[in-house]
Amino acid sequence: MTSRDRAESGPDSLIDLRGLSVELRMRKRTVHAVNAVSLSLAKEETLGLVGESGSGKTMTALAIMGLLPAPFGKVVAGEVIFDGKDLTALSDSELRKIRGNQISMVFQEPMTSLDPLFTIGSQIVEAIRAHRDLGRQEAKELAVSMLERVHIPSPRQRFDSYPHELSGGMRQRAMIATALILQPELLLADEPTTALDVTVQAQILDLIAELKSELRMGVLLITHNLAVVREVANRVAVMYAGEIVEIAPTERLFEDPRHPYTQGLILSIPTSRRVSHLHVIPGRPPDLTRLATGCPFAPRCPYVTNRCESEHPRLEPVSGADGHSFRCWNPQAFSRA
Amino acid sequence: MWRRLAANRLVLLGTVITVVIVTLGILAPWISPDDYAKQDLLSSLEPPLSKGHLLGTDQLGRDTLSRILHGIRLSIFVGFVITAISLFFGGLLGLAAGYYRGKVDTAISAVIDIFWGFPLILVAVLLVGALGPGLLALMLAVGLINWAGFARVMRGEVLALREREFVEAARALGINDLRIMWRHVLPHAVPATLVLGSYYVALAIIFEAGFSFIGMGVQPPNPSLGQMIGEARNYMLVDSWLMTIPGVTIAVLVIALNLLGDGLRDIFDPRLKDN
Repeated sequence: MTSRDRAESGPDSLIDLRGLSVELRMRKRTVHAVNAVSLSLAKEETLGLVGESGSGKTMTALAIMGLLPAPFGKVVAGEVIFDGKDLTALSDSELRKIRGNQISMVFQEPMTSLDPLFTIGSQIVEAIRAHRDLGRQEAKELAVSMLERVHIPSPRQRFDSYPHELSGGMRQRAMIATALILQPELLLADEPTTALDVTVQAQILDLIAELKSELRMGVLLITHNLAVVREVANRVAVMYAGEIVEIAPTERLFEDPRHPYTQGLILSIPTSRRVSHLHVIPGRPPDLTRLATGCPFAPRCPYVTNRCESEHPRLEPVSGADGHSFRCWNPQAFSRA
Repeated sequence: MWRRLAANRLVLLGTVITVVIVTLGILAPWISPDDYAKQDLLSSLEPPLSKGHLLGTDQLGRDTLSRILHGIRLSIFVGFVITAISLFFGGLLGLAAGYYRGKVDTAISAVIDIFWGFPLILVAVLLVGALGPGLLALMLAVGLINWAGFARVMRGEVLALREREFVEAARALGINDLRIMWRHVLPHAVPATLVLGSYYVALAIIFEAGFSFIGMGVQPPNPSLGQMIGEARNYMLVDSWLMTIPGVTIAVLVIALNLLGDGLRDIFDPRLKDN
C-alpha cells in the first residue's frame, strides 16, 4: 500500500477499499476480476463506479458485501475497512449482521429481485426481523411508512400486493424500500435503473438522491451509463479490466478526462449534436484470465506507445487538481471533436 | 389450480381414479365385505358376481374383493410412505448440496451417485437376504434408491434457484441461510419434486407388486396385489378372473398416477400454461 492510498482515507470516510483484488477461480482458469482497487467513499457521498460489462464493478460491490459467487469468488488481496473493521476478514455471521443493516444493496432487475411467492410487505418485514427484534405489527407499520417514503401510492394496500401486481418502477421502489428500511449507512446500487424505462429511470435516481440526503448515507452507484453518473454522483471512478483507470470529481472528469478510455466513454454518449454516427471504442475488453504485463487498455488505445505494452501504468494524481488521478503513460488533451 | 387440473380430461380422469382408489384403500378395513384371511374351502374359486362374493373367491375360498381392497391399501401405503420418506431425506440432502455447493456438494453428490448406481433388484435381493422376505426389506430397498432420485432433482433445482436474483437479494439483506432455503428456495423447488414424486409412487407400487409376485415381498396371509397375481398363476387356466382382477387393479392405479403426474407437470410448467 502506498502512502497516497492511506492519505485518501480521511476521518470522514465511510468505507475504504485498500488494494482489493478479487479472483474467480474456475477449474481450469482464473479470472482476475478486480485488481488492486483502492477507493474511499465519504459519508453522504455518492460515488459513481463506471465501466463496461465485465470490468469488475459488480464484483467490487459483491466483495464489499461478502457475497462473491461461491465457491469460485475469492478476495485474494487487500481489505475493505468499514466501521473500523476489515469486512473481508469477518465471518459470514458477522457479515450477515452488517448486510441489510449497515450496508444494503439494490440490484439491477426489479422484476426478479423480489420473490414472486411472497407479498411486498412480507419481504420488507422479513428484512426488518432479520436484524431487529420487532413484533409483527410494529414491523408492518415500519414497512408501510417506508413504502410511503419511496412514494408508492396507497402503501397500506400495496403492502399486501405480490410483485407481479406492480410495475417495474414500483417494484424497484419496493426493492429500495426493502434495502433502506433499516437506514443503512452505505447503499450499493448496482445498475438500479438499467432495466427501467427512461422516464422511470429519472424518478428512481431522484428517489435515491432524496433518500440519500434524508438518511445521510453514502451511495456507491454502479452503472455503465455516464449520463446517470453525471446527474447524481459527486465523484466518479472509471473501471477497466478490473482496475480503476481514472477517478475524479464528477465535473472535472467530464471537463478534463485524461485516460483515453474515459475520453472514449465520454465521446460515446449520444448528444443532440452527434446523432448521425456514434463514437465507438474499437476492440473488445481484454481476457481477464490472461492479463498482459502492460496497460490492459493498450490494444484498444489510439495513443499506444511501446512503453504501454511492456509496463503497467500506476494511478498517478494530476498535479493541481485535487482528487483527480489516472493511470496512463501517454495522456492526451481531450477534445470533443 | 383445480380448474386447470380439470381442463384436461385425461388428467381429470387420472385424478378422479387416483382419489377413488386411494379412498377405497384407506377405508379397506371398514368397507371390506369379509375378512381377507378367512378361508372357506367349500366355496373356493367362485367366479365374480357369485352369491356373497362380488369378485368371487380364490383357491382357499377367500373373498377376492376384500383381498383386493386390502391389497390396494398396502400398495398405497408402500407407494406413498416410501416416497414421502425418500422425498424428505433426498430433498434435504439435495437442498444442502445445491445451496452450499463446494465441498458439501461434492460429498453429497458422490453418495447420490453411489446409491443411484445400484440396480434396485440387486439391493432388494441383498436386503431380503439380510432381513428376510417382507415389507421392511422391500421398502428399505426402494427408499435407499429413490432418495437419490429426489436428491438429484432437488439439487439441480436449487443450483438454478440459488442464482436467482431474489435469493441474492435476500442474502444481501442479511437474512440467514436456513431461512433463505426454507422461504425463498424450497417453495420454488416443490413443483418439480412433486411431479417426480407422483411417478415414484407409481414405480414403488409396481416394484412392490413385482417383488411380492416372486414371493420376496409381502408374506401370506397378508394380501398384496402382486402376491395375488403370483398365487393365481397356478389357476390361470381354471379361473382367469383370479389373475385378471388384481392385474387390472395395478394397471389402473399406475396409469391413473401417471396421468396425475402429467397433469401436475403441465400445471407447474408455465411454458405449457396455455396449451
